[in-house]
Amino acid sequence: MIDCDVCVVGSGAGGGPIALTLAEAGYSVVVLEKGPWFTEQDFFKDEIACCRRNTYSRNLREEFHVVEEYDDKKGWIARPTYDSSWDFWNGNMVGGSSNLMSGFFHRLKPKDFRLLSEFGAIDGANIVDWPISYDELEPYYAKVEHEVGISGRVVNHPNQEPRSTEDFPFAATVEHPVASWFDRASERGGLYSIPVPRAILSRQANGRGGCQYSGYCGSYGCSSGAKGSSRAALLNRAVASGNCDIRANSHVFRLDSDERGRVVSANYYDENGAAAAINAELFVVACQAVETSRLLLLSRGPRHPQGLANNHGQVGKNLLFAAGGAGTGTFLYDKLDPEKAAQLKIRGPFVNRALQDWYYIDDEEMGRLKGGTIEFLFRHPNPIGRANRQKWESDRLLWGQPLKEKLKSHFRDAGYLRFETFSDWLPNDNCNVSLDADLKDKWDTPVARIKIGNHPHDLKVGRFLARKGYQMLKDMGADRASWSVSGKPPVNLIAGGCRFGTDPNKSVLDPDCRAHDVENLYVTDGSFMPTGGSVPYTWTIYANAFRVADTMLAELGGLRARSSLGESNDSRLGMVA
Amino acid sequence: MKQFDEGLQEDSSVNVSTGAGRLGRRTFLLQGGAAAATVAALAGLPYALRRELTRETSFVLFSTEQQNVVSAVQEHLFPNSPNSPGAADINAAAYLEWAITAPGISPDTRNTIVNGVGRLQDASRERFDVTLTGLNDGQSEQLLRYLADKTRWGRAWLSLMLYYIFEALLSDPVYGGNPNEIGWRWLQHQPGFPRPPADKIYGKLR
Repeated sequence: MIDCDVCVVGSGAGGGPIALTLAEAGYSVVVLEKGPWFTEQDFFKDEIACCRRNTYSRNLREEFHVVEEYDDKKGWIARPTYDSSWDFWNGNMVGGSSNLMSGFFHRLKPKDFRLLSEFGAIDGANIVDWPISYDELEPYYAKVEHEVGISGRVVNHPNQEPRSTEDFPFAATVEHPVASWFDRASERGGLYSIPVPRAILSRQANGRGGCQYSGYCGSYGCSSGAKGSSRAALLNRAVASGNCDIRANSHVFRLDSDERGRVVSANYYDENGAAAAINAELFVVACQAVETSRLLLLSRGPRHPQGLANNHGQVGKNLLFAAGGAGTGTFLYDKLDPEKAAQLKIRGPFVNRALQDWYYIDDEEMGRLKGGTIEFLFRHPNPIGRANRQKWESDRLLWGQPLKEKLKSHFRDAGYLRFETFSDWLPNDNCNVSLDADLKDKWDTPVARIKIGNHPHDLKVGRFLARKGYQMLKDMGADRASWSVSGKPPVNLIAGGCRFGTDPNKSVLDPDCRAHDVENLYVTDGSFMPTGGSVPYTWTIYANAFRVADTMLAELGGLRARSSLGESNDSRLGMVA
Repeated sequence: MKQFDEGLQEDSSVNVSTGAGRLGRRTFLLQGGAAAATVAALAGLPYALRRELTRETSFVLFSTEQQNVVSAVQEHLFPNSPNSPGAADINAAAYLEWAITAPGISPDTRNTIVNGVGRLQDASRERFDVTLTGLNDGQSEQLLRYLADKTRWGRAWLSLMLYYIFEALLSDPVYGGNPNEIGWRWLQHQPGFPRPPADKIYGKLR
């Protein structure tokens, strides 16, 4: 018995486009999401709930990861995250971590699809070309601009990627006065100031409010619906179609497959902790990179003894993060003229500026290599986190009046502009996901073991870009500026593990993101990416998921008259005209 | 925005730099048994009821002596001054008690806090023959500085005590600290909006 046409595991940026496209086309879709279903009525600017406790993630004593890192003295060291407090859950709720993103949206560039061909092999890195081109994804980048809602302003610059439409469907969000400081400094330096597209509505549209400019965005859920989360932008519409059932608090622990190797059911624990199952014709896994690989590895079957889609041992390999560094510029109010100081104190609007002048580097010393994006933004306003960082003076704890003076000066005397650089995290044999041999979660299921190895090349590129970011802050008039580059990954920028490709021996998914050896299984989160490019991943994940949705639609037989979930047993795949 | 921070949710310095979460198990059993029972009893209660209980009894987590030590240490770490709030002004002691009895708090964190009070008392007796509340300001400073600079547990404990002072100073007043936005006003911090109503704070969102 079939419960629905399509079962989607995970409701974030990889799952939302599938659910919307197929539900609106008349197919019955069930989305299983392990987290709760929050709405705009549940999101507040509350640092405790948002960012100091695990409201949007899991209790690390119950559900955790094991992280393996390289120590120069001790070699590879594995440590469970309940011990380290290093939280790799990025937003377990309907809409996933897209609820909490900042929404800096950049497309990949055509050369990102041919990294190997364009820049050649690098020892110790598993660089490959993508099996599709930019041109194949471009219509879906354009589609995301409308479906998710991207605001911005196209300007000509040497690294502007080709576009099928002239400009964004939504005008740019309100820009902070500091953006003009940036523009002037860029002009002086002969650089191209790029207005950053945002997945944030600048005006009310599609039943969602426009941005309210509270000054808190990244890490927070959006209370107006302006942020283009999978939930606000896509899933609400999927549900409105009458064909999409979202089951929150439903944790999928295994996919069962039959003698033919096809997936037949998704087994999950429901909101009461009871085991349940969904049978479907097609299955989509989109649980974010780590948990997607983990679920496949946990799902052994008669034709998949090493885990689903893992007959060539590729699941979990070539995990990606975003490489790069960051820096901060301190602008002392009393060193600025009063007008500029007043400008800097304005809270709410966005800086929305980036540099891509070094997306490709051709440097005398460095040679020709792939570079990246430098994104400029204000320091996050979360005061508890900021205060907590002031308690250290070098390696010494501060307290008493010296601490209070430092706090007062930090908060009252200066504004802070930051930059973050984004560059390729080169895929390598030391960065992957496997099942931990010993430790299990509260469901008695082996947890994911995340091995984090970075390639030295990443640090080289990161340092190059960070120095450029640092120089920009100085050129803008920062009294003090600093930069740093680390091999530690940002946990919210994660992809790979189930790379797509044409060779089943070297990839998990085919170019349509269908598992090579499982004909009714697709993976549509960032896992498919064989290389990550030099931008945040979310726009690309959305675009690719819309692309795969069209493939699935074609497989299912194209548009169909509206059906309801109650009728789905009679209108299943194969019975469609 | 890239999220690099380890231990974003609580105080990364504790586990990352010292591993203190694992240090106190035995000490906790010896010194904190009663407190542990109280914590366990409180942990399952709804926020409003727990607040009511704790308000009526002032503290239920710590003994009177421990309460006095906690308050004295907090005031030492974050003293009042003519133009800025001190620990008492931001309800730091009551906030700490709420924070470490709230659902979802790591037992390691809770144990580190509770055990630390006992260890501090031991250290004070060892060096000065009296408990912390019997020390003058200079002696307190000498003892706390020694513990922060020379002992792993002391460093972790004081780091955590400071962290919860910052929460009391700068969290939304709905949680019981930062009364009348005194911390925000002092640091000229502009909060975001919408602000959390009492029925949608941490522990009530699900």
